[in-house]
Amino acid sequence: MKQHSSFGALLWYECRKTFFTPMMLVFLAVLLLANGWKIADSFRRADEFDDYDDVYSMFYDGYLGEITEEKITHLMTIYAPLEEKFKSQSLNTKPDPSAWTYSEATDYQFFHSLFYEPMKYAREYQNYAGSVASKAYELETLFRRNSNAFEMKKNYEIVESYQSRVLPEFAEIWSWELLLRYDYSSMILLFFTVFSLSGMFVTEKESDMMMLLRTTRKGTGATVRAKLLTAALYTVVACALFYGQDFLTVYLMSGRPQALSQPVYILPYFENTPLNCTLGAFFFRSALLRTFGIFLCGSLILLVSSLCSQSLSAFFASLVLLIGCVTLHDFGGQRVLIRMFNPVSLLFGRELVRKQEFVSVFGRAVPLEMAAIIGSGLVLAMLIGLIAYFSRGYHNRIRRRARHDRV
Amino acid sequence: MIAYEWKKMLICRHGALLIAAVLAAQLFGLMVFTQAYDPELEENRAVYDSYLAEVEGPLTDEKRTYMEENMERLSENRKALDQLERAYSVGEVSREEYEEAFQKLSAVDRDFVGFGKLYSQYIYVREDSYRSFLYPGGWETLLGDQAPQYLYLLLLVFLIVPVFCQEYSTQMESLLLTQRKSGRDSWKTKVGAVFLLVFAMTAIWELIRTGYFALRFGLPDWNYSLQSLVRFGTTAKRMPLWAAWLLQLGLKELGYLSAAAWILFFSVMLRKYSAALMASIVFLVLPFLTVNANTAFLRLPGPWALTLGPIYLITEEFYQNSFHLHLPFEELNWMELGLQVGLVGLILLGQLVVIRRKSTNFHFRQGKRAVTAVLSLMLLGILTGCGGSGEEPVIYNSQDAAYFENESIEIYQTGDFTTTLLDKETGTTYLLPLDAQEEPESIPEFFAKDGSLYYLTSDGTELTRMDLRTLQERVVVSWQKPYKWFFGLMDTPGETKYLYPTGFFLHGNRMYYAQNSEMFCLDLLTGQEEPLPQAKSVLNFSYDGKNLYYTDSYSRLVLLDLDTGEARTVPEVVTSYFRLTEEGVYYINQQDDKSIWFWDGESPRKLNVLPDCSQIFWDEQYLWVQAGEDALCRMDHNGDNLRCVELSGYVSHIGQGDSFLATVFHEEGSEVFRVDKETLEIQPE
Repeated sequence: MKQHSSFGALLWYECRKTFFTPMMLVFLAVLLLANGWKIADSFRRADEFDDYDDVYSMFYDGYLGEITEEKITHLMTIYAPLEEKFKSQSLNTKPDPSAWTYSEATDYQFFHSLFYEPMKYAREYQNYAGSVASKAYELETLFRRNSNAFEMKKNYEIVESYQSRVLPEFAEIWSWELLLRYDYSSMILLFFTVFSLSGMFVTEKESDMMMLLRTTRKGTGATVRAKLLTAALYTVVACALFYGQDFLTVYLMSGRPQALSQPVYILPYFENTPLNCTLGAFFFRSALLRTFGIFLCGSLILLVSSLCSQSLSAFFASLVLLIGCVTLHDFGGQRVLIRMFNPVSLLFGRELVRKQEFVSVFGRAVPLEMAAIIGSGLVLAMLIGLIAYFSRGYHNRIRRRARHDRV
Repeated sequence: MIAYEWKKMLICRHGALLIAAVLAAQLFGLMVFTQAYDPELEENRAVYDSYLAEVEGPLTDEKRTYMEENMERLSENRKALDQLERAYSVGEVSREEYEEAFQKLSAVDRDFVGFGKLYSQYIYVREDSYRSFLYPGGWETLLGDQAPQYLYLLLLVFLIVPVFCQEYSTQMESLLLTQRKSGRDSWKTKVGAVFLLVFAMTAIWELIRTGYFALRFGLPDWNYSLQSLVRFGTTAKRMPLWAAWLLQLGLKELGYLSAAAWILFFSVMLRKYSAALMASIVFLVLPFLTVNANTAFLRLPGPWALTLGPIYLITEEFYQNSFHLHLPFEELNWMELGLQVGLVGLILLGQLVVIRRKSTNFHFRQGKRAVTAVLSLMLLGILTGCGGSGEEPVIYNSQDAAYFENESIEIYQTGDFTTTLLDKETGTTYLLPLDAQEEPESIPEFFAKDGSLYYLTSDGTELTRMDLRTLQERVVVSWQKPYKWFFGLMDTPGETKYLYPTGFFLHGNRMYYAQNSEMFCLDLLTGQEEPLPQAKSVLNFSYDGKNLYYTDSYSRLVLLDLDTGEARTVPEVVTSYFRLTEEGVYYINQQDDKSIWFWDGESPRKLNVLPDCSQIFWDEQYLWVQAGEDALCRMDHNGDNLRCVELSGYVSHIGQGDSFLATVFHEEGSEVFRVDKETLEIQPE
């Protein structure tokens, strides 16, 4: 065996050992099916006007693109009378063959939720951004006089990022909002990671190979590195599969990806976001962050695995710990430490960029998302350090003279 | 042999600890998150019970008349009460007449809500002759709970998988298979132990639940029909409540036994721990999280719907919503249910056959102690009651709750649901909250202490603190709960607390606030809330850092020491409006023609003979009083140098500045005037 390829061989062997087993592939298939079904089902439920797709297409193609006066007038001629009736509570709910959709009431809902609201929001956004920027400018002055450097920086950043925000175009957003809030795949990934990685270190202990491994030269450092690298590869592949499946499903079922090239604040959820990228870029970024988060959780599982002596307890402990992290995230509220260091918070990356939020780190104002990434990076470094420590070889352990003599 | 299995499961693998932990967690959830079926009914329980005693049971003609008569009587009484109120406000009726009639009518009106509940039950009962009158609270909550028990399912998985897998993992099963006795019988003891354990645990938990509901709400009339409950009103199966309870217990037992069988089946087929654990969890728990409504499982011959018990007793009504037909789910009739049970039983038998074929022997092995992770328990906060630390001097009056002023800033309410912060030095105003990304809100209660200003956000879910030096806002306590949790798949249990008090203050770790004229004490650390029963009908209250000042039901001033809990009534001070200051308490004496008196801990003394006073304001130099309908008076702190000016307006607040605002209400609207403090000149604003 050549020297320089031995690590590669080691890596390949780890991968084969852990992942290319029939059980893994069966579970992967089952979970991909479950996820695919769930997101398709969620999409179908969110698509209220599925039966009237031809009508929707007609209007959508007409209104798509830059919001012009012409389009607005066209929409208002249909929408304004419906809105009047809605306000006076006289919308007819009986089936009406002359309506665009089922009845007058559903027509109102159709135009209101699919066209009027998004267009209005986009149209008014420039003003909104301007007013936020000017309010932030005033507040910056107030905080400067009260020597509050933290709030000063925050409001300064708000002014900078809101200054030239504008939403000139209309595109379909409800399908992308669904993708934004879809967390089922994260849960499945977390669960699948517990299953795949909890056995990595523990099976060696169970079969008593650990002692033997530790006496070999490459037994400790190289195998640990190979395991970690395998875990990283697994994370990347699994996340690509599941998150890719999510994105593709929505992309194909919706068929209208024009919003992806629009700024991310085209979604009302991101009205106050600090980000200025496009929606498509956001989804890609979000997937990367989530992959990092899953890898972080995976490292936690590997640490548990290297500490436990039975695979049952490793599985159990990993599951309990991760459910604990999720509970902490859901009920921990706004507490900064939880959001920064909880491995699970990167899985909900959208919550970190929903508003311009800053965290005080050694007196400096750091954006929340950055702080969370740094925090997670620190946690990851600590976990890897601990894993390396607990798997260190015999010759790296401190020998105690007295013990040596007694033997 | 079965004893060995018990020992292995419960002691060696720490199963007993796990069971105890899950039981504690479930008990906690039961006690903390169970909500009453109808909270209003619970509040009026006594009234409801007294009327129910007359009509309990199936509907008869006498009961019909009884209900109708009482309904009429109470509605008439309510109408009379409304008329009386109107007459009094217009002035047709004198004060004494009003008080007398009010006493009589309101005593009867107290029954209105409670009887109203019974009456709506009456409307429901008379639709079907099979229904009866009974107290529904306990039964509805007991039989209406259809959430999957995730914790229990996970417990079963972690308890049962090792039963067979432990032998596989140590590769002992091949050796044991060669033994004569163990090759034949060991699987029986294993399966027997598991089934017995599951049966016992399910039954015990159900009994605990039933016992809890019986104690907390009451489970009377268990031989009345199931249809008497609203949730089961359209159930096709006719049975009494006790039979329904037994049926759902039976279905649950079957469901959990089937789940146990599946877990055993997976562990025998897959052999490896991680595979068996994964398969069990994916099979048993994941479907609940994946599916939108649990009724999808009704006709599947699996453990899912069976573990939800009462779901087999409900029929969902059919309705049409715009153009989407809502697919109802119909309950299974007896035959279908029997078929379902039969199928599940068949599958169970099949699994037992498979297990038998692949059976392993039992061999007691002193294995390595497993490192068990124990679930962290959430302990209930200790009921500290409301007593704690002492505080430094601070003066708070609930009338001033909506305003704050210090040397550099002033905060006040502006008309259109906003609150403004004025920077005194530059004169610029800002709308609260001080965040460019937030909508301006109306924040009507403030409390200042130790260089910080506390207030509740307008949606009533967060307590915010503003540092008065840097104006930095931070959320101190948040009662917000996410609507759904666990990746958006599970409903959050319990209720979100909303607080809309009319004034609050903080003493140590506790927040005292008034809501609907009652005072409450909320411990911010533990979340325990207690009403202060002595402080009823609180119009205004004050706080001096140590004592709570309020008036009792006889309008006497009471000082409640918040640390010791001692209440000291001051019988000489009879008032409905008072103001606490550094010097003492200025108050409007009810017994002396509503003139201004002063009390500083010793004997009260009269300050002035001004009659019919209605408000008192205090600033560094003067005392301001609104007297009568149309006079605003100013005097020194000892009552001298009285000067009055004509003003038929309403003053809401007098701050530290040189002038203050008064609002005059006309028929057409209102006008705002500015009053100079020194010269008492009134200028329109």
